[in-house]
Amino acid sequence: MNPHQNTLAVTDDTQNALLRAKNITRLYSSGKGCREINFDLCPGEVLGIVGESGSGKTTLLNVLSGQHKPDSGQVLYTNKKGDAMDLYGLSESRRRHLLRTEWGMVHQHARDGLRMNVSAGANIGERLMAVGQRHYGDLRQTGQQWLTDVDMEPGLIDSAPSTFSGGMQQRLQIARNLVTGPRLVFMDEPTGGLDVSVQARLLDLLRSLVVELGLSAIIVTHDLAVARLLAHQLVVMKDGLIIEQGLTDQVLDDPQHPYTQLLVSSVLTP
Amino acid sequence: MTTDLHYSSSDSSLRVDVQNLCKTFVLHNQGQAQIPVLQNINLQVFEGECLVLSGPSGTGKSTLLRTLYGNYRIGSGQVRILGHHGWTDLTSAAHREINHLRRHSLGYVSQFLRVIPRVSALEVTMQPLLEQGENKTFAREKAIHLLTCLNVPEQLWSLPPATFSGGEQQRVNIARGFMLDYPVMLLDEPTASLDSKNSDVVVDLINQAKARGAAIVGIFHDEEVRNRVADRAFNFEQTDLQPQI
Repeated sequence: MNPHQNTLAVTDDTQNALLRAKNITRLYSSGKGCREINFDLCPGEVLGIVGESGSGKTTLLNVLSGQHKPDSGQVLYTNKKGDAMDLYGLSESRRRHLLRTEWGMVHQHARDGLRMNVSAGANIGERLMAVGQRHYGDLRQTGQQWLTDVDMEPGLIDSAPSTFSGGMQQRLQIARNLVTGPRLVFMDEPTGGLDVSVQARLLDLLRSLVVELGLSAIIVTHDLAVARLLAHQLVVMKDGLIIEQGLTDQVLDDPQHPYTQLLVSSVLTP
Repeated sequence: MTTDLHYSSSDSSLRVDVQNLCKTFVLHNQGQAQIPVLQNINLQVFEGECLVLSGPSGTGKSTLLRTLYGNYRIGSGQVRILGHHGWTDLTSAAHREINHLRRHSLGYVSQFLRVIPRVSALEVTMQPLLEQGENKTFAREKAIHLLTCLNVPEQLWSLPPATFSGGEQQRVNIARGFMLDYPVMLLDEPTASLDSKNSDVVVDLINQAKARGAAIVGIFHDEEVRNRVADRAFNFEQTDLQPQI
């Protein structure tokens, strides 16, 4: 440690960004949506997006995750091989392939992310089959392993998710998404609608998966405590715009924008 | 992260450099009230020493510590910290650089443990090493060693600290804070709710950290503890903290 040694440990990380939002705008006829969104997400990093309902969080997530084309702006992604690509410059089929292989999407409502009437094992196996695995025994074994990894009984592999509790469905959704070893996971209010104790289990699971698997994630939440626990970088949205962004602790402990100050002071323990 | 070729001091043991730091909080929802907490703070902390922040409560000691950790933005002036990978200028550092500095080089022990639901005391303690990519066995051994030194009963190790007493939580927090040999450490009343036996352990840990070269900035309410670890003091004066509207 020599003060004159001028090594740059953190090189220009934005060059290695996994996902980059460049001036994204998507508006609905009502004028709602998101406008002029810019940020970079690096490998291993978790980005939190907070804001009240109607602030454009979910619209933004849909654009970022390849589900809705923006009116203007770009979503740039660097894939496993290191190729940079413009998400909406890809063909529909290549975009879908990316979604199935390198990305995961955990929906707020498990029914949007699961097939409710096929077994838990089939839900987990579906993504594996989509990337070419066919061996039934392997699929089943992987399925059971993942159920264990998300704190579920492996014996539940033949049960349909419609028979599960909300927390179990959410964990199954996570297993289904992580089975193909994605590099980036999008989550829309992953703990919304769950009991506090179930939330805690899920949060603990998400946190350890991020640390152990080196995942990157973009998490939309209205819960500032969830953001504090999981996010390295926080974005605050209001009326479709990012009004504040930066280090999570800094945004929550020293908010600059009047709206963020209000948001932080309105909760019991941020 | 900046590299400063025109660095003014020639002392190569400098670790923390604060120049003309000012910090004012503006409360937009309370009539734009302005609370000037830090005014023209200048201080340097060197390798192997403990600088104690002293002064009456409400004079900005904790604010300074939290500014050094990056929780508060720099109002004006400059704050630079030398970590394992060179200087980080907190004035201009991106969130990514601050996270990097914290993970590898900057330790922080507050009075309160931020409890993570469902995570056991042992795992909470192991975390800083695991986040470095250290192997679990080594992290576990070190965590057990520190929890034992700090007299955290073994039957508590596997339980989440949410239900522990204040003193027990604080000892878990201290164990966690000393898992890594950080070159710079910030301590905010680490002995606040400890008995004298455990305070002694913390004093030993601080002195060991100094001996290996850590630069430490701390707030210690307990005068005896303060006298046993402090090399120098930085006095905060009573300033008029009335909101200016």
